[in-house]
Amino acid sequence: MQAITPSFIVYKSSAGSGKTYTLTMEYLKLALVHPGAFRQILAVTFTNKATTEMKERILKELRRMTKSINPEEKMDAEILGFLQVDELELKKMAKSTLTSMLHDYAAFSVSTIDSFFQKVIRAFAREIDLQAKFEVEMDQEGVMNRMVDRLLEQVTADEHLHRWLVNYAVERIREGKTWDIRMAISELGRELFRESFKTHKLEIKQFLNDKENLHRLTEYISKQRKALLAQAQLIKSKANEIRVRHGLEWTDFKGGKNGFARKFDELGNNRNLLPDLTDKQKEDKDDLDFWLAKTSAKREQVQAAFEEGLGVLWNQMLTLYKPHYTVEAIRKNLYVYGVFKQLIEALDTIKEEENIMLISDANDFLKSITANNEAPFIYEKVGNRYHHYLIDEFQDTSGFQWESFRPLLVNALAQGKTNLLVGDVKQSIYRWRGGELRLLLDQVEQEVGHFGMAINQLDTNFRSLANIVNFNNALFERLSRQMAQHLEDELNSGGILEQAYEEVAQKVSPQKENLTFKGKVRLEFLENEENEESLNEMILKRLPEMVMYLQALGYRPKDIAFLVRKNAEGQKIAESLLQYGLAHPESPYSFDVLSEEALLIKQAEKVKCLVAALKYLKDANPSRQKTLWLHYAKVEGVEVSHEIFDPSPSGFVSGKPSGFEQKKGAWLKLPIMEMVNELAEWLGFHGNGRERAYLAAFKEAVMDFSSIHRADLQGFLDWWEEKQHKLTVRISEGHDAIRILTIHKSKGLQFKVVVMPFLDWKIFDASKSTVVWAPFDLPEEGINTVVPLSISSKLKESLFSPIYNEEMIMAYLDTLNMAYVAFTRAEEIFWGLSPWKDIQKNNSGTLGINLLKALCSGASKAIDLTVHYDEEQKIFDFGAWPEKREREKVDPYSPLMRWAQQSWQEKLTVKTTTLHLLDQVGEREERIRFGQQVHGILEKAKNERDVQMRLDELYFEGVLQETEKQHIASQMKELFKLKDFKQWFSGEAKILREQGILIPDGQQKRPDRVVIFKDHAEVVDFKTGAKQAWHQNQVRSYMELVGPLVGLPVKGYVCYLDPVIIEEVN
Amino acid sequence: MESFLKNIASTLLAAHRDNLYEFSVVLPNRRAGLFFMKELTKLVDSPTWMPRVITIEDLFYELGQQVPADKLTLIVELYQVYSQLIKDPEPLDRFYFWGEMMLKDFNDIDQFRADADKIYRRLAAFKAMEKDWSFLTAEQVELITSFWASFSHDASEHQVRFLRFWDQLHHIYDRYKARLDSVGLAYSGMIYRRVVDQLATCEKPQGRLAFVGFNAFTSCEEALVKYFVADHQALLFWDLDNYYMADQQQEAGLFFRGYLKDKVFKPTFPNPLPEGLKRQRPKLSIYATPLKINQANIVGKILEEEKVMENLEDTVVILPDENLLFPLLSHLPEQVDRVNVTMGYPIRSTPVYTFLEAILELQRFKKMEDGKLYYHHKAVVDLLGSVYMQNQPGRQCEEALSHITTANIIYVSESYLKGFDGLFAKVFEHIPGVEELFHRLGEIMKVLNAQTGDNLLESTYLLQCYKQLNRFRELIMPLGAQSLPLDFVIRLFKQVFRELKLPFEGEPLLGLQIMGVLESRNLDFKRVIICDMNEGSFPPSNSLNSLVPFALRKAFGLPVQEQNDAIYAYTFYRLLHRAREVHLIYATAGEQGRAGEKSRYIFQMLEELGLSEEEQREETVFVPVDLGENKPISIPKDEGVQKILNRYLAKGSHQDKVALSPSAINTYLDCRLRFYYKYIAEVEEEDTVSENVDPALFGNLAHAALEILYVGFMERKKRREVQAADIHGLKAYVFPSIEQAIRRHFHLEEEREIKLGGHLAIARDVLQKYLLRVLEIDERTAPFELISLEKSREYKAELEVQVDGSKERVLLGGIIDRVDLHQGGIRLIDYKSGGDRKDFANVAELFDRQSKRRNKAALQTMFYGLLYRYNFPENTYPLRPAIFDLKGMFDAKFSPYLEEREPYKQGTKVEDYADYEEEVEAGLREVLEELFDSQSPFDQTEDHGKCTWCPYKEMCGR
Ligand code: SF4
Repeated sequence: MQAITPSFIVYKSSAGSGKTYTLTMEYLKLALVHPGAFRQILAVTFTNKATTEMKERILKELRRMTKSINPEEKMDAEILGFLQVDELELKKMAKSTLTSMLHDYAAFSVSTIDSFFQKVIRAFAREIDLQAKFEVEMDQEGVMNRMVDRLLEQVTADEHLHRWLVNYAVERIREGKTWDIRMAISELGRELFRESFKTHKLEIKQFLNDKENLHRLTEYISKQRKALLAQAQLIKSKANEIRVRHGLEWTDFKGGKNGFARKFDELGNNRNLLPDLTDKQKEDKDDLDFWLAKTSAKREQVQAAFEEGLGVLWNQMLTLYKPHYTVEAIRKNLYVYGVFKQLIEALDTIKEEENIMLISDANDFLKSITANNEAPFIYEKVGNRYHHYLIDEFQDTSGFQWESFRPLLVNALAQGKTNLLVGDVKQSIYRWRGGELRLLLDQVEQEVGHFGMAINQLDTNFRSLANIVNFNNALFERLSRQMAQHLEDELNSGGILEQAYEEVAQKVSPQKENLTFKGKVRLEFLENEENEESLNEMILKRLPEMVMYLQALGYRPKDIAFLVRKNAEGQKIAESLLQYGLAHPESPYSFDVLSEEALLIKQAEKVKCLVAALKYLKDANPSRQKTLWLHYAKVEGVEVSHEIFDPSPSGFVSGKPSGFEQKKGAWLKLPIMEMVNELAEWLGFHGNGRERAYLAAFKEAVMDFSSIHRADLQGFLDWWEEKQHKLTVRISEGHDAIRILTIHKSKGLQFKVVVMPFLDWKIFDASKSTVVWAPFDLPEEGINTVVPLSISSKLKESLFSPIYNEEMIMAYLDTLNMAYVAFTRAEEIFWGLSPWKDIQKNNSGTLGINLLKALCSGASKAIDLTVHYDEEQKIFDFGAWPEKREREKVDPYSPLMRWAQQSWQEKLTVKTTTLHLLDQVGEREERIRFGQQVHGILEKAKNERDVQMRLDELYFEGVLQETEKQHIASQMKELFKLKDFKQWFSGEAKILREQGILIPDGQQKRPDRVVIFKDHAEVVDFKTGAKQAWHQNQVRSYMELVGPLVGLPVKGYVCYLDPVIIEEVN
Repeated sequence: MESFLKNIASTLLAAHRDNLYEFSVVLPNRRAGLFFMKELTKLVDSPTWMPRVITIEDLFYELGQQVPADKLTLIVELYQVYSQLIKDPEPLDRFYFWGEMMLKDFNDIDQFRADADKIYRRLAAFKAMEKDWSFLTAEQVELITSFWASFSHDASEHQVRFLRFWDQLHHIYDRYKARLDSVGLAYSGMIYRRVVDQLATCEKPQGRLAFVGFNAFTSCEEALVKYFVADHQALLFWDLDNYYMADQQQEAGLFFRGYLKDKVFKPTFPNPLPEGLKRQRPKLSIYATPLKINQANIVGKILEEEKVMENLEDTVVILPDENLLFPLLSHLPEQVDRVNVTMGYPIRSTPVYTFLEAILELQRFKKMEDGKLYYHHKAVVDLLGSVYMQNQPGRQCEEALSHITTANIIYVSESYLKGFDGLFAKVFEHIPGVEELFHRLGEIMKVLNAQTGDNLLESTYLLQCYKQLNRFRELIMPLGAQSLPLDFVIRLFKQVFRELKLPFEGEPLLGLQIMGVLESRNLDFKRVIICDMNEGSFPPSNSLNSLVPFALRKAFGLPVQEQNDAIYAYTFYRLLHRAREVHLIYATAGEQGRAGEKSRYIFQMLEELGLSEEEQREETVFVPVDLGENKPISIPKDEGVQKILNRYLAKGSHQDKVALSPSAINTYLDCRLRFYYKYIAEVEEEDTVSENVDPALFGNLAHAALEILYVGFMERKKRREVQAADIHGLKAYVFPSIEQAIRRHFHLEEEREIKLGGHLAIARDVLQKYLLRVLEIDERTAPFELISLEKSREYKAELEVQVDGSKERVLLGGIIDRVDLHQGGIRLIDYKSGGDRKDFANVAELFDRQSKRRNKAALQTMFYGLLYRYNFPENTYPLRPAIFDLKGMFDAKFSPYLEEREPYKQGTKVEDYADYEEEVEAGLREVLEELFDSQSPFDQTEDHGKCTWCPYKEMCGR
C-alpha cells in the first residue's frame, strides 16, 4: 500500500514555507495508515505553545477530512497518493483515526523535548538515583544566586577559599574594577548550566579536585607573566638606552608625536604589560623606512639608532604578544575557575536539599539513559513505544539533545520506520541557549544518513507578498556571499555562511502572486553628523509619523510590529510613541503599544501598590506607607503632591492610613492569597477599571506561589523579588495595539507590517564576553585541563586564535540569521531605518554597512537591488504603497467577568470547634471530649468487636492518641459489663444504628440505637453531659415514632455515659 | 428529568417501603449518601424507616472487621521490612516516596487480586511460564514476553540496578503482609482481598444490600458485589447512558461494556439502556480565558447573569483544581447567599502553619561554632516577619530585624535572639533533638493559642495542627527519634501537613454546590459549571506512579492509564446526563509560562455530540491589557514642603535645624524629585540583608578605620605630625582598627563577638589592603600633620542666598574624612571606595545637571573647601581638595588632587580652593536659590540614565 520512500526525511523549511502544514501532513500520512497508528508517533515541538497549536492543527485537519477532501490541495493529494485510496475511503479513515485519537488521547503524543525527556527520566528515576518525587526547576538564575550565597558563606570556614577570594577582589581593584566579586562569580558560574561546560565537566572536576593542580596552573601563569614583564621591561630599557645614546626623543622618529616608537615607553606597565598597537604597528619593523621620517632633521641619529637594534627590539616585542595574550586570557577567569569545584558542590547540595532537577540537567540524564540502554528497554520502562519521530525546529536542538535522541531514532530507522526532521538553519538564533545548527546542516546526515535520507526543500513562501519574497531572495543571497567573503578575507575561512544560505531563494505562492498589491520594502539610511545619540533621537522622532502613515493606509495598530534587537530599544520606541500620543490626544490614530516591558506585571501601579502594602504589612516600616500611598494616588489618577507623604486629615489619603492600621492585624492572619485579595478589595482595585489584567496576573502569581511554596508573606516577597522581572500578563489575539518585540520573541510570528527602526548592530561584539571552553595542556608543567576563556579581540592574537575565529564566524551567522528572521516576519511591508555610513570608509563590522553594501553592489539573480536604491536620497524603495483602505471598525469589548468581591466568610464558615487547644489540659474538658468520642463510637458500632475497629479508625485519623485510645477502650470494657448495655450490642436482636426515621415534612429523627427484639423494641440514646429534662422527652418522641413502625411494644432508655447511668423512659 | 438518586429512592421506596430499614444502600461516597437521603425524605408520606447508607469501603471494613492504618504508619512498617531485605537501604526520608509507590503497588495487587509472586518474578525465558501461566491470554503473554525480552544478555547498568531491586519485591510483599498481620495492621487492599477470599464464610450484614451508582469496580469490589447479587438478592443500580455505551471507542463506557457481558451483572442493567443524552442534551457553552484565575470571574458572571436563582442547589461548580476555590468564593455574586463546599480549608497556607514550618527551617539551617549556636539569617528574618512574632510586646522584632539587616549578619547567634522577651526564647532556643522539637512546637502552639482570642477559625486550625503534631510524634518517636536526622523529620512533617484540610461548615444540601470532580459522582444538577477544562486538570495528567512497568501492570490486570481515563471520562459525561445547561471554562495559559491545553472532552464533544453552530463557538474572555499611563511627577512646594525646607535656613529657631550636605546637593543636581524623596519626604531606601556589601558601607568602614588608626596614633605619640618612619609601626594597628570600625558601625559592644558573613569577611580583608595602601601612600608623602579626622566633627557653614525676593542664610555642613597639613597646604581628603575621576572641565560643569561628565566627587571636595574657609577664615594655607579612591590608589601614578581639565586637553591642578571660591559659591548659590524658590517644583530628571540606579525608580515608574 505504501510507496517506497526513504525512511529518513529532512525538511528544510525557510521562513513562511508552511512548516506546520507540512508537519501536519506528514503526521497524518503516518497516522492514517491504521486507526491506532498514531500511538507510535511522537511529534516534538520547541515550545509548549507550539505543542498545543500542533495538536489542534492535526485535529482540525482530521475533522475537515471526515467531511471533505480536496484533491486539489497539496495535503490531500499527497495523502491520497501515499495511502493509495480514494476520497471516500480517506474520509472513512480520517473518521476512524480521529475517533481513536480522541478516545485514547493520552497516546496522542505531541510534546516538547523537555517534557518527553522528563517523562523518560521519571521512569528511570530509581535507576539513575534520583529521588522519587523531584521538582523540575526552571529558574536557573535563582539557583545561581543561592549557589553563590553558599559559596560565600563557606568563606568563614574555608581559609583557603577565603584567601583565594580576597586575592581575587584585590586583583579586581588593581584592574580598576569594582571589588565586588559576586557578580563576576555568577557571570562565569552560569557556565555550569551550559552544555559547553558540561562536555568537559569531568575533566575539569578531576583537575580541580587536586588542589595541587590549581596551584600549579596559578604558579605557571604568574611565572609566565613575570617572565613576560621582565622581558618587556628589558626591551623598554634597552630601547631607551639606544635612544638616549643617540640623543633622541621618541618624537624624533617617524610619525613624531603620534609615531609608534613612543610605544616603547608603555612597555612593562604592571597593569598593561604591552602597549595596544594598531594593525599597522603590529607588522614587522625591520626596515629603516618605518623609523625614519623623510623630513627628519636627525636623520643620521635615527638611522644609527635603528641599526643598533631598535627594529630588532620592536620585533622582539611583537613576539611577546602571543604568549602575553594567551596568559592573560587564562588569567582573566582563573580566580572564578578556581572555585568551580566549590560551586559544583554547592549546586549539588542545593539540588539535594531542595529536591530539584534543573531543567538544564534533563539532557544530561537522558543522555546517560539512552547511552546506557537499548531502545526497547527504554520503551518498556516508559510504557510507550515510538516508531516515528517528527522533530520540529531542529536547528535549535542542542548537541546533548541530539545525542540523547539519536539512539532512539536509529532504533526506529533500523526497523525501516519513517522519521522526520524539520528545521531551517537560517532561523537558528538560539545558539546562546545551546542550539547547534550544524546538526541540521550536515552532522545528522553524516551520522544517520546511511539509512537512506530524503532532503526536501520547502521552497514556496506562503506568508509574504511577492516583493517581500523577491527582495529577501536577492538580499540574503547577496548578504551571505558578501559576509562570507569578508570572513574569507579576515580569517581565510568563509565558514558555513554560504552553505547555510545555499537555498535561500523562495518561490512566491500562487495565491499571493496574483494580488494587485505586491508588497513593499523600504529602507532609509539616515545620516547625522554629530553622533549616534542624536541619530537615535532623529529616528525616534520619525516613528510617530511612520505609524500614522501606516494607519492612514488602513492598517490597524495590531497589524504593525516593531522589531528590535534589545529590549532597551523597544522601551525607547514605546516611550516615543506614547509621548506623542499624549501630546496629541486629538489624533485619529492610535499610539497604543504593547512592548515586552509593558507586559511585566510589576509595571502596573496597582501591583506596585499591593507590593508596597505587603511590604509594609511585613515590617511596619513607615517609609513603605509613603510608597504605598504614592502608588495609590497614581492608581486613582490623583496628582502626586506632598500631601501624600505627609497625610493631612483633609487630603486625599486621609483616613486611609489609620484604616489600614486597624485592619492590619486581621490581614496578617490570613493566608497570603486572601491577604492580597482583601487588600485589593479594600483599596478599591476591583471596582476600578484599569490594570485589572495586571491585578489578575498578580493574583495568579500569588496563587501559583502558594501552591508550591511555604506561603508566608516574607517568602512571597522574596520570591517576588526574584521573579518579578519575568512575570508577564498575557495578551490575547484581539488586543489592538502596536506590538514591540525582540527578534528572538518574534520567531514563529508574522505581521502585516514590520518596522525596524534600529536596523543596525555590531556583528561581532567581543565586549559581550561570551565564554568558551578550551583545552589547555602543558604536559611538562603537569597541567592538563580545560579553561574558560572570554571572547575578546585579544584572544585573536593568542594561542587560542582558532577559537576566536570560530566564534567570529558564528557571530556572523548569528547576525545573518537574525536579519533573516526579522526580514521574513513581514507579510506586506518591511520598513527599516539604519544609519548611513560611507561604505568605502567603513569596514564590515556592522549589519548596517553590510546592508548598504549589498544594496549598492548587488546585482543578483532575482532582482537588481541597486536599481531601487537612490544614492542621493539614501533610500531603498522597492514596490509601491498599497491603496488606502477603510479601517475596519472594532467594537469595544466587554468581557464576561464579574469583578465585585465579597468575603467568602460571609457565605461560608469553617467547621470550627468550641474546643480549645488549651482545653486539652483541663480535666473537665477532657472528659467532655472523651464523652463525645465515646458517643460517636457507640452510635456507629454494631457490636462489641466493632467498638475496637472504630477506635482504631479514630486513632489512624489522628483524632485519638494512643493513650487516649487505651483509656477509652477500658472505659468501654466497663460499659459492656453492664447487662442492659451489652444486649443493645448483641447479635440476637435486629439493631438499627445511624438509621433514623423519615418524616413526611422532610425531617429525619435519629435515635442513637433502635434494638428490635422478638417481642419488643428498645430505643436508646446516649448522652455525654449532665442529666436534662428534655432527654426523656426526646426519647419518648422517638418511641412514639418507632412503635407504629415496628408494631411491637417499645421501651426507651437514656444512657448517660459519664458517669454511667441507664435510665428507663416511661 | 428526575435525578438519578431520586429515581433510585422512589424505586426502593415503592418496592420496599415497609422493610426499608433492612436495606443497606451502598454508594460510592458519603456525599452521594446525603443526597440520596434527601431525595428519600422528599418522597415519604408517612414516617418511614431509613435504610442504612454506607460506602463500599464501610462495607468492606465492616466485613473484614478492620480498618486500614494510616499511610505514615504503613510506610514506616514497610521500611522496616525493606531495610532488612535490601542491601544498603537508603535512609527513611529518601525511601518515603518510593515507599508510597510500593505501597500503592501492593494495594493495587491486592485490590485487583493479582498474583504478586508471578508479577514480581523475573522471567529470563518464556519457556518457564508456559505451564502454570495458562490463565493468561495471548495478549498478556505477548506483553510479558516483550518486556522481559528487552533485557539484553549482558544487562546494562540500569537493568542490573532494576533487577537487583525487582528481585526483592515479592519478598518484601510477602514479609510486609506477614508483618502487618502480626501486629494487627493492614492497608486497605489487604482487607479487601481477605474479605473477598472469605466471602462464603464471613458473617454477613443484616438485611439486604443495594449497590447504587458504581462505574468502575476493583476486582475485589466486583467479586463482592457479584457475590451479593448472585447469592443474597442484592440490588444493583447503574447510572449510565447509551451515548457512550454503544460506541466501543468511548472510554466512558469501558467498564459498563465489560459488566454488560457478565452473566451476573447483565440482568441488573436496564433494558433498553437509557438514551438521555440523545433525547435531551444540555445546552453547552465553552469559554477560553488567558489566566486560570479569571475563570473565577467568569463563573461569578455566569451566576450573576441568572437573575432568578430559583434553586441554588441545582447549580454545581466543579473545580478540578482546588487552588481556584478561594478566588471563586470571593467572586460569588450577592444572590448566592449559601454555599456548600466539599473541599476543605487548606491548613498549609495559614499563617500558623507557615510559622511552624519556619521554626523547623530555622532548626534546619543552624550551625555550631565554638560551642555557640548560630542560625542562618534568612530563617530568622522569615520568623521575625511573621505576625506572631510581631505581636510580641514592644518593638523587639523591629530591633532584631534592624540589627540583622544593618549589620549584614549572615549567622545570627542564638544567645542574641534568646535575649528578647516573650515568644523569642521559645522560638529561638536551641532544639537539640526530635523529642524536644515536638515538645517545643507544642509549647509554642499553646502560646499562639493564647493570642488568638476569640478568633474561632484560628483556634480551630491551631487545634488541628496540634492534634496532627501529636499524632506525628507518636509515629515518629518509636523510630528511635533521637537518632533521626532533623532534616528528615522536617520533610515528613511538611508532607503530613501538606494534605491537611479543615472542613467547611454548612448544610451540605443547601446552597450553591462547589466540589471536586470525583465528588460529583451520582449527583445531578440542572446547571453545571466546570472550570479548568484543561488537559492535566480534567482529566488529570497521568499520575500513575508505579514500580511495576506498564506492560506488566497491563498483563496482570492492574489498572493503567486506560482505566484512569475511563473513570474520568465517565465522570465528565455523567455530569451531562440530566443537566440543562453546561458551562465549560478553560485557561489558555497554564502554570507560569506553559500553555494551557484544552481538554479532550471539548474536542470529543465538538466531533461527536452534534453541537449547534453557536455552541461550537468558543467565547474568548480576556481582560484588556491597559497599563495606566505613567504621568510625570512634579511636586509643588506647598506649605508642608516649605516648612521642611525652612529647616535648612538659619532663620527662626526650630529645634530640628539641619544642614545641607554635599551629597544632598549632588542628589538635587541629579534629580530634584530624588532630593524630595530623600530629604523632604524622607522615604527610606530599600535595606535588606544582602550578602553584598554596598559601596557606601565600605566607604564608611574605611573612613572609620582610618580615623581610629590615626586618632590612636596621636594619642599614643602625643603629636599630630606623622613621619615616614612612623608608618611602619602603624601597620600593626590596621587590622584592629578595622575590627573596631566594624564594631562601631554595627553597634557591637566590645565583649560581643563578631560573626562576619562571607562577603563581609572578604570586605574586611579588602579593606585591610586598602588601608595598607593608604599607609604606603602616606609613607611616600610624609611628613604631614593631622588636623582633623573625627567623624563627629561636622563642619558647618552658612551661605546667603536670595529666596523669593528676600535674603536667607542656608545651612551647609559636612564631614571631611581627613584634614591634614602637607607640603605647606591643607589637604581636604575624601575616601572613596570606587574609582572616582579627579578631573572636571570647569566649575560651571560641577553644577551643570545636563552634563554627563559632572564630577560629583569634585563638587563634594570643593564643598569641603567652602566649609573649611568658613570655619577658619584666618587660615592662610592653600586648601587642596583631594580624593583617595580605592581604584586610583593602586595605580603607580596616583595623585589625589583635583584637576581642572577639558576632555582631551591639558589641565591644571587645583592648588588652592581660594582660586575657585567665588565661582563655587556662585554656582552653589544658584542651585540653592532654585531649591528654595517656592515656584519651582520638585520634578523628575529628564535624563533617564540617572534613574537606572535610583532607589526610587519604582516609584517613578522609570
Ligand atoms: S527615578 Fe529618576 S526621576 Fe525618579 S527620583 Fe529617581 S532619578 Fe529622579
